[in-house]
Formats: sequence, C-alpha cells, structure tokens
Amino acid sequence: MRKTLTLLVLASVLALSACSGKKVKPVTGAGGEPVTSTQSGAQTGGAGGGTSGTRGTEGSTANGALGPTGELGSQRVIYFDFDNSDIRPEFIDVVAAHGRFLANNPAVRVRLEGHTDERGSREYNIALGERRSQTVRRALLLQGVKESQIATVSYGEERPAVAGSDELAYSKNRRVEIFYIN
Amino acid sequence: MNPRGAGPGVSVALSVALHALLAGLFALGFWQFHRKEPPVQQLAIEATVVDGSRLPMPAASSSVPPISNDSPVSEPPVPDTQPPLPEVSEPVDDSAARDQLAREQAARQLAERQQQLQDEQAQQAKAARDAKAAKEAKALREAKAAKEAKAAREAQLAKEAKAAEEARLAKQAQELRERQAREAREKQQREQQAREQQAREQQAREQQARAANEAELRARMAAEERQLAAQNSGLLAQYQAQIRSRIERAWIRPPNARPGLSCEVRITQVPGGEVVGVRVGNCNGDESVRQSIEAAAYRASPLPLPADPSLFDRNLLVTFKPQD
Amino acid sequence: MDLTMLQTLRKFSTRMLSALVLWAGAGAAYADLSIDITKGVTDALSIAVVPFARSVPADGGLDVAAVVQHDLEGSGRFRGMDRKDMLSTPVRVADIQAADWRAARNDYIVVGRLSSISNTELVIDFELVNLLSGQTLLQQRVSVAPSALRHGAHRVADLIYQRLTGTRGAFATRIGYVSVDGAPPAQRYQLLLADADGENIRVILESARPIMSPAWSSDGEWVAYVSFENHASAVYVQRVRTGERRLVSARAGINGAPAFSPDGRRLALTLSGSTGNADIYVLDLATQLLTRITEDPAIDTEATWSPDGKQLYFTSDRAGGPQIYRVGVQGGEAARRLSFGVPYAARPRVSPDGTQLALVVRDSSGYHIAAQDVAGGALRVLTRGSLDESPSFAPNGAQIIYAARERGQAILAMVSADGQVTQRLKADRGEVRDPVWGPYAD
Repeated sequence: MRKTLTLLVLASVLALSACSGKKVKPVTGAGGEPVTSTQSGAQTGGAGGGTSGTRGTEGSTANGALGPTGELGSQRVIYFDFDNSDIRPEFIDVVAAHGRFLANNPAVRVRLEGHTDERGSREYNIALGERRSQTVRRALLLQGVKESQIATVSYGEERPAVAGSDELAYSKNRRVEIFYIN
Repeated sequence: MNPRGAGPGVSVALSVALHALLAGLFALGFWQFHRKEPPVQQLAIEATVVDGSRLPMPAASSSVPPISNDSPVSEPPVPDTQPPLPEVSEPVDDSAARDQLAREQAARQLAERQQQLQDEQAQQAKAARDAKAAKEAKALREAKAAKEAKAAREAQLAKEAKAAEEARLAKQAQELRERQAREAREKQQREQQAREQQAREQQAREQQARAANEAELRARMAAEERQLAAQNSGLLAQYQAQIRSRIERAWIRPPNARPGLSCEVRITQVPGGEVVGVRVGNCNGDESVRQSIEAAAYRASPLPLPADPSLFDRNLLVTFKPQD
Repeated sequence: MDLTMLQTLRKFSTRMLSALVLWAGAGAAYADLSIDITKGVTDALSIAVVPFARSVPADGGLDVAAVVQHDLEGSGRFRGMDRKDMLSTPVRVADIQAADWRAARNDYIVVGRLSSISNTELVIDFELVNLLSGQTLLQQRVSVAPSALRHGAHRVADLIYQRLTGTRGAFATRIGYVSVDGAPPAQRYQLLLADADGENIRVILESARPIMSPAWSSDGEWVAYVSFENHASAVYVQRVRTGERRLVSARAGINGAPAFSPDGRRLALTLSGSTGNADIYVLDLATQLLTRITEDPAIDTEATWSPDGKQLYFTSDRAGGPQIYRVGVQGGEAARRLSFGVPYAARPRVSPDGTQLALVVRDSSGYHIAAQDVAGGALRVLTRGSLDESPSFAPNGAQIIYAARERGQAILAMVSADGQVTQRLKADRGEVRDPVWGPYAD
C-alpha cells in the first residue's frame, strides 16, 4: 500500500513536473508574450475645463476646438451624488448646452464616459457608470440629438480623476465626461 | 468352571470365544436395532409420514417408501355406468289365438283380483279384532300396575317419615354434643391465646428493644455511607471536571470536527497523572480528527490528580462529542 | 421456622447488605472513569520545520523548508518554530531528540533531505513525525526538475497539510490579479499570474487602459478578462501557456464580468447593448450562441457558476440596492434572492464544494468580505477592512483571497474560510487588485 502510494505520488509529481517545467516560468518575458496594447489611452477628450483640472494634460487644445464654447458648453464633466445617476440641478443647463450644440451640428459626435468612486464592487460600478452615461445620453436625445451622434462607455472605478480615499476625491470621481470625437 | 489344571491357552481360547460371542450378539442386536429403524423419508407430496417401525418390513432394501395401511393402494376407479337392462323378447305373429289367449287371460286376472280383495278384507277384519283385544288387555294391566304402585308409594312414605323422625332426634343429640365440645375447645383456645398473647407481647417488647438498637446502628452506618458517597461523588465529579477541562484546553479542534462526531479514546495514566498510553477506539471522524484527538490526549499530560487519592483511575475512557 | 431462626436470618441479611453497599462503593473506583469532551480550542498546530539537508548547487539556493513553513503558517492552521530556537537540526527521523522538541512545545516535526538524482531530477525526501506519540505520520519523496524546486516545496507543504488537517492543500496553485502603476490619468495596467504565495510573478498582459475581472477556466489553461484597450470594454480569453488571445465580445455598451462554466464550454457575461442596461448572458464558446439570462431594467452583473454548472449566482439591484441572486441557467423560474439583512451585497463567489458563498457586504464600518451558506442563513463577516472586495475561493475552499487597502495602499490578502486568520500577500509592486485563485494544477 505504501509502495503504491509512493509510486503514485512519484508518477503524479513526474507528470506535474513535466508540465510545470513549462508552466512555472521565470518572472517576465518568457512563455506567453505579454501583449502590449498599442492604443495608449488617447485622451482625445481630455476634459479641458477648470472643473477637473487634474485631467487637463492631454489633447485639451484638440478638444477645446471641438464642441461648444462658452461658460456652459466648455464644462465637459458632469458630477453625480453617491449611488445616484440623476443629473444634479446645477448641471442641467450644462447638459442642455451640449444638447443644443449637438442638435445643431448633426455631424459632430460625442463619447460619454461614465465613472464612479472607488467604493463597492468593480463590475457593479461599471454598470453604475454606464447608467450615468445613459442618463446624460437620454437627456441629449431629448434635445433632438441623434442616437448615432452618441457613444457611451463606462470605466466604473477603474480610471479615477483624483487618487485618494476621502470624500473629496470620491466626489471628483463620480462623473460623466463628455468627449467630442471628430 | 475351568478345572484347575487347564492351561492358559484354553482360557484364552475360551475368553476369545466368549468375546466373539458377545461381539456377535452386539452386532446382531445392533443390526436388528438398525433394521428396526429405517429412515423415514419426507416426501414432497402431501402424505402422512408414518413411523416406519410400525410396518411389516419388506424383504428388499429400505429405499422403497413405506406404504400405509390406511390409504388404499391405488386401485382402478369403480365404473359409473349401470349394467344394461335385460332385453324384452319379441311376440309370435298369430292374431286369432292371440285374441282367445287375451280373453282367457283377462278372465283369470279378474278372478285373481277378486280373490285378492276377499283375502284383504278378511285380513283387515282379523287385524281389527286383534287390536281391540290387545287394547283391553293393556288397560287391565295398567290399572293393576297403578294400584300396586300407589300402595308401594304409601308404604315408602311411611317409612321415610319414620326415618326422618329418627334422624332428627339423632341430629339433635349430635348437635348438642358438638356444641358442648366446641365450647370446651373454645374455652381452651381462649386460654391458649391469652397465654400466647402474653408471650408475644413480651417477645415484642424485647424485639423492639433490640430492633431499636439495630436501627440506630444501621442509621449510623447509613449516614456514614451516605456521607462517604457524597464526598466521593462530589470529589469524583470534581476530578472528572478537572480532567475534562484539561483535555478541552489541549484539544486543537479541526474545523471538520463538527457535531455528530463521536470518538472514543482510552487513556492510560500512571500515578502522578502522566499519560503513558493513548488508544483511539470507535471514531467516526477522519484521519485529521483522529490525529487531533490523539494529540489532545498526550498534550493533556500530566493529568490533574484527584483530591481523594482513592479516586485515581489508571484507565480513562474519553469520548469526544463536540456540541456546537 | 421458629422465631429465633427468623431473627438470626434478619440480622445476618442486614449485615450482608451493609457490607455489600460498602464494597460496591469501593468497587466503583475500579471501573474505567468516563469523561465526555464537548469542545476544544481553535488554535494552530505547533510544528517545527527543520531546515532540510541541501543539495548544492542543484537546489539553486532555495530553502525548501522555509517555503514549507511559510506555506503552513500562511494557512493559519499551523504555528511554526523560529529557527534560532532550534537546538539541533536533524535531517532524519533517527536523529530527532523528541524530548527536546516537545520541551519547546512542538507537537509535530518535519525533517528532510534534498538529493540530486540527475541533471534533470531533484528529489525531496521528508518525514513528518508526531512528537507526542512518536509515530512517523508521513514518509514521502517528491521528485521535481531543478527549475521547479519551489513547486516541489509547495507539494511537500500540501502533503503535510492534508495529513494533519484532512483537507487537501492548495499551496501548489496559482493566482491571477491586476496591478496598476502611476498616477491618474497616466496609469499603466498589467495582468499578472503568480504562485499562491505571491512568488514567480509573470506578466501576461500590459495596457495603458484598464484591465479587470480576470477569471480562470477549471483546467487552468485559459484566463478571461475585460480590457479597455479600444476605448471601450471588451472581453478576451487568453491561453496561459502560449499567450494566444481571442476576442470574445466587443459589443456596444458593457462587455464585462466573464466567468467560465465548470465544463469550460460556456462563458457567462455581462452585456448592455446601447441602451446601457446591464444584463447577464451565457455565450457558448463553440457555437457563439448567446443566451439571455436576465431581462429587467435593473443592473444584473457579476455572474458566477455553481460547481454543477446549472445555476448562476449574480449581483442585481432590482430590489433597490445590490443584492445576491441565483437563477437556473436553463431558465423557467424567477431568480431567487439570497442575501438579506444588509443594504449592499455584491460580487458572489461559490466555494468549490458548492455550499458556501463569499461576497462583499457594506455595513456601517465599510465594505467587508462575508460568507454565508448558499442555502441562506446568517452572514459571517470575515474581514475587518473598510474597502475589502473581490473575494475568490482557493480550490480547497479553506481560504479566500481578496483585495484590501492597507494604509492607503491597495494590497492582496487571504483570510481563512472561517475568518480566523488573515494574512497579507507579499507585495512587490504598487497597487494590486482583482485577485482570482486558480484551480488545482492536475
């Protein structure tokens, strides 16, 4: 019995080592080629407005040229309350401004990117961020914007605007960003 | 029997002959005995099993099943059909002679019938007369008998009355005697009883005195015993509790030791409490549970000692039965 | 009989009775003393893992005994001995002075020797001895290629763990997780695989855009994940050994929360389409047939399979806030809510034996990992952090790996399934999250 057991262990470990000889790789580089994504976050829609200053590094000039100008229209980030996807009263006019612009420029397209703060489950937050994007989308549609002009995406908690685990950071991360994309 | 001068050979031969004879007799008897008890075969069919020893033995071997005298040997069945009726013969074909024959036959038959009738009438008359005579005779006899019976009864009654009278007198006398005897006896009895009563009372008093002594003694003894037992059971319970607590602290209980587990361990300890032997007995847990229990027994060493040294027990039977 | 005889008899019997009582009382002391034990303590088993005899240079300098001790201690079920307290370092059973080790309060001891059989084979011979009874519980040989010596050490730990706890060890398994470097908005994301103890890290995907929700197939050959490399979420599956990658779903809206069915033939997914309402679907990988599982205006996501492949557990906020539900894959009956008593319950995972649920709950002190019976019942909160998330069961069900925050840093930790012991995984890079425990290697 013991002998059989030892033989069995031996056999299995041999088989295992035959595989693990391939599986257990030195740290990086060997084995599966690490796939590097080539599309590095082209932040064509960096929110240029002062309301989310930490994001203003990329392509703001490019985006600033697109989309509405003016006090309302230049605001590209809509903020939300915790666990909520309703557009707050202070942002209704902002959304309206974008809606008017898009309705008047049917060739222009936007991407609405929804986000949440870091609290809670990641995939649930993806869906929550999407809900926020959808709220803004529906508001735009109501103003005559065509469906084909709007794309939505949600990053959930994956791309915070502000690092940190305090209420200030959280409030800055619960947002929808509007990117004009052509 | 043997004349003295006879040699040993003769005696040997005789004894051998005697033994042979005895052996032969034994064999015969055995054989006989054996033959008297043939195996009774249990047949598959419904039949009464008869004790074979009651039957006349067939000369052949005993493999023939015994035949019972009660049940008939298989016979052919009795045919149901009736024997055929005798045939009627055919008459000759001659009409004139036949007519004459018929007329003569008729006349003869008439005469015969008339004669028959007369005979019957005569018979009936005779029968009537006979009957009447018999009746009269019977009546006479009966009257006579009745008279005689009556006389006998009266005589009997008289006799009985007399006897009864006599008996009554005798009875009275008897009763009188008995009453006297009884009274005498009762008197004697009463006196006897009185004596006995006195004796008993005396005895009872003595008895009581003794019993009182004994009871007191017993009570004292019982009290001592109770006290001892209470002490022991109290101390015993305490000893058990101490051991239990020690083992519980020493048992690192694995997660799969859940309620429903029941494992026995026999622990052997030497005076001083050191555990020298651990044997896991009936246990419905897996190997890791057994390990943990065996370890607990060892880790609990040395076991606590009882307050009363007489309670120390080398052999402990510990049962692990987690409750939560 | 007459009176005196009666009296004598009575006297005699009384005396006999008393004697009997006394004797019986004394006699009781000679029967086995019975004791019932109804509870024990929850404590670690004390085990001394003595350094194994080396085999230089074949063992590459790896301290096998140290790996074994680290594994055993990390499980929370064992307490190892400090090497500096060891008076001797026996390598075979005959050299063990049991009394010394017992005096140091060890119940068990492991001794071992490495030897090189050939250029391609190293063997670890080891024994596990019960110091209390003197019994040798294990005497085994583990044979490995020199480059896989670490794996062999984990196998040794597995064998010891199983012998003493009755549960199969999971020390020779792997984990997957995501790491993030850099500050927003310039983060860099990586998908990594490692040994269960955090060693042997291997990057299998790098991106400037988020990667999330890695999931292993039951045979350990594939990992599914979500990647935002195309400015939108998409689900990929990647073959672990070769890096071969296949796009599974890049539909409009959400593509997320992939989960392999136990038979590896299907993938549960969260899709939303352009209306943006998250629902659960099942994709047949061979036929590409998509079956819709939930259909309602609420958020339904984070599906995970029951071990028999017949049911899906998921998060849904159809009751107002996120709660755990279960539904049959075949359909035909309504989903059943399983979590109660908390305002927020999400991210369910099922134990390998199918009886326990691990989930994230929120209470007044934050987000914690909790467990409950699949059939329902009281929630057992297992962790005490405020931002704990992403629980995943070890294949032996004994531990749960999860993501936590420690002093502001995102780390990985493990908690025993009964919540007794928590340990932090060694961290060699900045922010780590989204851990998933791989299956047994065989």
